[in-house]
Amino acid sequence: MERRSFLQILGMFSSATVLSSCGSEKDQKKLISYLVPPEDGVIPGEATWSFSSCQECAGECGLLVRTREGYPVKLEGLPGHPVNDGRLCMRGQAALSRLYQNERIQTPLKKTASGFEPVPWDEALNQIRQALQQEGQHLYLSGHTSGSLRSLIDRFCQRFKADYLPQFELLNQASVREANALLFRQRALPGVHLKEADLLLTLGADVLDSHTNPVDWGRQLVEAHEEPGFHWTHIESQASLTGVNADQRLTLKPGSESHLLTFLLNLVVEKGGKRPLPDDFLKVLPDLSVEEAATATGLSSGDLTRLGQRFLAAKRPALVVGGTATTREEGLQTALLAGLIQWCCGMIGTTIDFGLSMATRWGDQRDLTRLQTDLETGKAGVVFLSRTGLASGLPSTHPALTALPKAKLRVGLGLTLDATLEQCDLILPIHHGLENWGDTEPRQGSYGLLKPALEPQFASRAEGDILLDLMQSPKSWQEFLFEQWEARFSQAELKRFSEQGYIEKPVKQGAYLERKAAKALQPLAPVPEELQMLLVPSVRGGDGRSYEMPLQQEIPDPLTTISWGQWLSVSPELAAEKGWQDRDMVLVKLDGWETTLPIKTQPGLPKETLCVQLGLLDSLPPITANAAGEPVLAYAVQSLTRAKGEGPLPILSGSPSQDGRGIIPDPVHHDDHHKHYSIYEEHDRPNYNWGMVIDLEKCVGCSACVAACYVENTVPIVGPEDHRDGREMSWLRIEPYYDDHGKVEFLPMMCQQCLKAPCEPVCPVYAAYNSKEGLNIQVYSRCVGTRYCANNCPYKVRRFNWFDHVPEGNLQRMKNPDLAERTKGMMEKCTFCIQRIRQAKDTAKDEERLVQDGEVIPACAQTCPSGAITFGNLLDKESKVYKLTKSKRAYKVHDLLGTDSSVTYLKPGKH
Amino acid sequence: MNSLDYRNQIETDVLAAMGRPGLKYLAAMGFCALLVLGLLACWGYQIFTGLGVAGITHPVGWGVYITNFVFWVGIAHSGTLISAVLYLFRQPFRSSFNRAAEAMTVVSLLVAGLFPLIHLGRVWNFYYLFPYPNQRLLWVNFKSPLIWDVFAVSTYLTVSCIFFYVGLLPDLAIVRRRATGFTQKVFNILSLGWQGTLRQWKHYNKLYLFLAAFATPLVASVHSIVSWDFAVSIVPGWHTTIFAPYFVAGAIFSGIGMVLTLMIPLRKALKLEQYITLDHFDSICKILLFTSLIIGFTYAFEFALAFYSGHKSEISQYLYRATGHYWPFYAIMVFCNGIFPLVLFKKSLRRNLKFLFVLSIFVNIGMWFERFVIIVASLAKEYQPYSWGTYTPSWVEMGITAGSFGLFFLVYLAFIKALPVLSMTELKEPHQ
Amino acid sequence: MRLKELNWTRLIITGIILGLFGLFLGILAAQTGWWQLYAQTPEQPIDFPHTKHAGQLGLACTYCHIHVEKSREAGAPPLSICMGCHQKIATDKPEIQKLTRYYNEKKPVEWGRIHNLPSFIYFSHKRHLKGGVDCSNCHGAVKQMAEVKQVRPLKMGWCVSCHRTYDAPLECSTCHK
Repeated sequence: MERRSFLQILGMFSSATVLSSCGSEKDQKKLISYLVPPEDGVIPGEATWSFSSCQECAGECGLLVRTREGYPVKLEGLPGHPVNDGRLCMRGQAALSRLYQNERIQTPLKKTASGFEPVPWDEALNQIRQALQQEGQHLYLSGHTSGSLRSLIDRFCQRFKADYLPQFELLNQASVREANALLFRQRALPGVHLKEADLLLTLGADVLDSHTNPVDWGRQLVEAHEEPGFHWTHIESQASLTGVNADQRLTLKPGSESHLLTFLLNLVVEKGGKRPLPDDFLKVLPDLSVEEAATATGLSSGDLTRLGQRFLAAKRPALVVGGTATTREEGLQTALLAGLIQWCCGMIGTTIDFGLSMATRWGDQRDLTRLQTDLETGKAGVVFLSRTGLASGLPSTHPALTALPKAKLRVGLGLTLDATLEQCDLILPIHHGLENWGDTEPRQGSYGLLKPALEPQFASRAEGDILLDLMQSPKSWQEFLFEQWEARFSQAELKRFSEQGYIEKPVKQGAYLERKAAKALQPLAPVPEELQMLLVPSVRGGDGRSYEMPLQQEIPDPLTTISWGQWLSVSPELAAEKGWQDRDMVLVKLDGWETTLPIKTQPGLPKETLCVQLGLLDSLPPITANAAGEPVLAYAVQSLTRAKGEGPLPILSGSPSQDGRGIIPDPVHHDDHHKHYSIYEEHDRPNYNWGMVIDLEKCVGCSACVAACYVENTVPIVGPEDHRDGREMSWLRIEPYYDDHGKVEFLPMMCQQCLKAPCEPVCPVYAAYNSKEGLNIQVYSRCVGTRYCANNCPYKVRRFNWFDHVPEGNLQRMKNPDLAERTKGMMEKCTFCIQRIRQAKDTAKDEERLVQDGEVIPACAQTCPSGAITFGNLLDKESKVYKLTKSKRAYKVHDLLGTDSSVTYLKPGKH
Repeated sequence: MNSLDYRNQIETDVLAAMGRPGLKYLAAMGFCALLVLGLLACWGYQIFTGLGVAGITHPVGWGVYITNFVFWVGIAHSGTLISAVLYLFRQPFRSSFNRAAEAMTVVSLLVAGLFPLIHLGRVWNFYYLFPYPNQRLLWVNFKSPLIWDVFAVSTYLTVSCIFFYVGLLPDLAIVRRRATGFTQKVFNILSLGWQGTLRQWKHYNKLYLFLAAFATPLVASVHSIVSWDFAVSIVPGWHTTIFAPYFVAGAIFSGIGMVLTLMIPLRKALKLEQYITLDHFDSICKILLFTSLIIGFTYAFEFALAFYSGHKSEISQYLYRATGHYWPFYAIMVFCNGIFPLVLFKKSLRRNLKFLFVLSIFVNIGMWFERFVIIVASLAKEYQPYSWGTYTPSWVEMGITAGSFGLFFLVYLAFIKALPVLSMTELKEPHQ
Repeated sequence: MRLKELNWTRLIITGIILGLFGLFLGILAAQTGWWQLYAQTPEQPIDFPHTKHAGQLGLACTYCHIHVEKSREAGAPPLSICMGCHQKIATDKPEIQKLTRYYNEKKPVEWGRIHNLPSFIYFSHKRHLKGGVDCSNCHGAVKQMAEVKQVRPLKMGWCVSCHRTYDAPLECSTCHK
């Protein structure tokens, strides 16, 4: 690339990446000056923002990275980004810790007899170059990769005649992709336009937990619900966060998904859908009456009939299958039937859009077999394993893993020395996404930008640079990127890309039905009778990989409130039958595998199902693949017996039921607006009265707000022992309340900033007081730790520092310098992100005005994918928050106690 | 002549208790000293590691430490009752108890005063709790019951010490008169030049009456203020108006229990059976019975109040106390405080010292558990079901509790040897 | 005078009273000593005289301390500002040569910090400047200091009293992060 254009493009993107000014933190003994004042607007003590993309899952949401003194301290969603529009999920918020984790590899490593030893880059690269010259089939296996890096790997593999194996993802949605490949000639996951839809039917697809992009789904669901008449039914054979938030949730026997879809397809064909089903398919489509379907699925005939009616009545329905519905032996059938329903109801091209497809280069378990064959036959030369998570996603006995040593040279690229990289001969550390230039293509037509937010901390290199170096190209990765962009975008688009951090170039892609696909349809398999154990993805761990981050276990699972530890979810009926209680240890025996786990009863779980979350098991049972190559994560349970003892599970909730306290009032409960009398004078609040409104209808319990709060306020992660004692430090928590019918509502509970706070009069040293702006302020340095304030708080939101919690090593860089450090003996709690309020007031004061509505957003409100939290100045009658407090659904928790809280909740409406 | 002999005899008998310590005494002191060392070690560990080494957690922010605090402050009250209140009511039977009871008050206040420091998360900043002029231009929060505690307990300690010392003065002079050597020099200083002149006696009686009148309201007020630590909050189970009289009655009850625990062995060991007679115990037990009736009534009344309120959280709390995680402690509390002492209606039991000793141990245990149940059970089940939790004391807390008992007995044993255990002056006065 | 004839009571009471006075004097002495301690200046890598620059030459504080009007931190001046003059001026002086070496080797100067607030305090230079507070109010007569010393206690009460006098915010959260 010409130097001139390189510099031009660089100029567009250039911003603060260098030079820290030490000494802007108080208490430092040295004041270190810049050499040259940074011209790019970096002022010591002020934060800078840059663009990046989250790499925690394949969703690849756009990020805004807040950097202080040269180190990123907070990730936020990028507003306007086509995928997440300014929001970020729990895993994304926690992903900052991967940048600073102490386990990061700092130099290239070489495997020796006594372990791993550091080697210089040149030596490592030379060894690889030599190996690439030799005989053998070289293989490149990476995790999900999109954008220019994928193109570069393609070129690299072309150059060395290597095989770029389809990318490895454990939850590869292969059944749906194979079905789409067979039916519509597109091996991809299409996107969904919920705004167009009036009925959404999800079968097994855990769209709010981990399927495709939960942030996008959360956003779209809220938008769709704004249309009256939109309805969402979720049908599953487990109990997921997605399911409990749907308008209607139905459970069916695991293994009966294709029966349900056959029933629906028959109904559609009978009553006539938008498009007719070609004869090739009609011939092989099994008949299924309502009664037969009811017996097979376990649903009542009434439910099935009503479901069918609703489906037929919908003008623009959408059907999505995935998750536990397809990680089964018959997953391909389920996906084929779903595809046919999508076709016949005219969803393809309207609500289901292949123009928004993702996962186009993902492989499946059959590709692993290819890898295994190459390895076993000794053909394999150099095997590159880049960001795969292979050894953590698969059981150690998986043939692909056991055959790995047969490769001539195994080169691993990654951030930490995980189980996969430990198998390698040479390990090359790569930059974390925040240290790197790059781009992403989360789905067709959308592009995201990665720009380094800090100088690389260690001697790692960009994967692109490594490949280019091996190719002995004079180009750098940055040059390659800019070349790609110049080719892909016009000048105007490039400028927009650099200013926004993303760009959309919508793609129109139609689809037509391939009749030959009828051959793939098989007769219905019988529904298994015995108990089944499902390995399920979760909102905290995704496919399990995010459980590597301690924060993901510190924050409890929203449905069970279990934080640290592994457990087996069982239905309350099964537990009652066996006389078991929460935490009892049970022995689960599968074919060729067994484990002992404590149980937790989960209301709403079908009696036939036991669930374990992926990422929590010490060892995985054997994973086979179905016909499409999707891993079969449903197992027949041979025996389930009580083992001795109880598991030390921290179940953080003291009671799953509201116990009649009216915390989330029954719709029948009417609001009493009492005038609260007080012996104290009303406070004078001249300019601001900060308040918050939380819409419980929108809250799905995903805990993104909790993770954002943890990162923004550097809340200590205390670990399992303290959790068992009830000493979790979360300033904001999600409280699930189940009713007698097993339905659950989520209540985000944080300091209510009561205007008549019970905690204030009882503090002997005035460490807690009410400010002129309606906030309950906690002055850490004044606190002597009598804990009366925590005792007197009816919401129990005050958290005490029982010990000094100092993060280890490099993780200390995650500390937000805008907050005081809390040491042992101090009480802390939610402050409505007073550091952000302070910042906004500072800016407003500079401009000699008041803070406007929308200028201050606490971390929780900022990240909520559903937009459930609104914050603002209650004195401003035009503000969003004021208007919401006047809603008919508004109420305050424990209002009768007279605390006059600043947080108003909106009752969830009828589902 | 007879009365002079009698008065000499009193002096001899009482001062005999202050002789050289025997082996058993030294062994007891040694054991108590060990417990005190344990207290210091546990407390030091807690200060350096953090309050997390105790079992306190969310939601139960107060546990064994505050239980001990209220327990020891409560015990102090009956000492003042016997010294001051019974003096104002001119009850002669107080004279055989009052010195030992008053000493018990002072020592238990010293022990109690430790616990507000022990339970602080940042004890090195304890001086923030005192309203002293400081460069920060900050006062303490006078609205907080914990500050009222600071004033109440420190006032009580000061007044009790002065009252104790003033009452001691004539006796100190007696010891000075009868002692030799170094002891005489010490008591010379301590007795502040008391000569026993008529003028001095007049002033002394006025002062003693004034101090008694001053200390009397403290009996009611101090423990009322301590009870308001709880009653002023909104915690269900704490927020009830009955707390002040309930706690004061409980304090007197537990204090008399401790007086019995101390006096019965003391009487035997120091051979003071002549002076502390069964009649005295009979009268003291009537107070014990009376306060036990009040407490029993309160237990029942609290339940009635809760159900009358119709407040879900309140009702749920009282049911939790009786049937929830801590029900054994509740059972102990009701039995030991409200039911067992009712046997004192029988006169023969009031005069049976062995039985009274056992009863007094039950009373101490029952009252300790009453404070524990009130504090811990109320915090364990409050308004927000998500945050319900339980509390188990850790070894650090048990070590400190045992150490506090050790400290109490250590100082009390020192008192027995160092100062006259009975009020010789009052005993010498003519009886009706 | 023999031991037995001493009036022990008087002696002890006198001792206690004298002891209390002594304690008071002791506390006073300790405070003075502590003041001396923290008012000590650390070693500076370059001997920079404010008397010359701010005093004789009359440079405004903000000429070098450029961030003070825009941020909470005042920060040390970037070396380029020094070199702006000292590329040509006074290049024979050893301290200037030291400075030039730092600049040429691209080594930032590690100044010893004199005015230090605890890390839990939020203090914004910008806000105070815009509020009309002169630099010398808190930093003293720097123009006359050959070696900069801390001359104000910078303790909470001192800040609060000025806030009270000048109607600045008195909320705890104004300064306590």
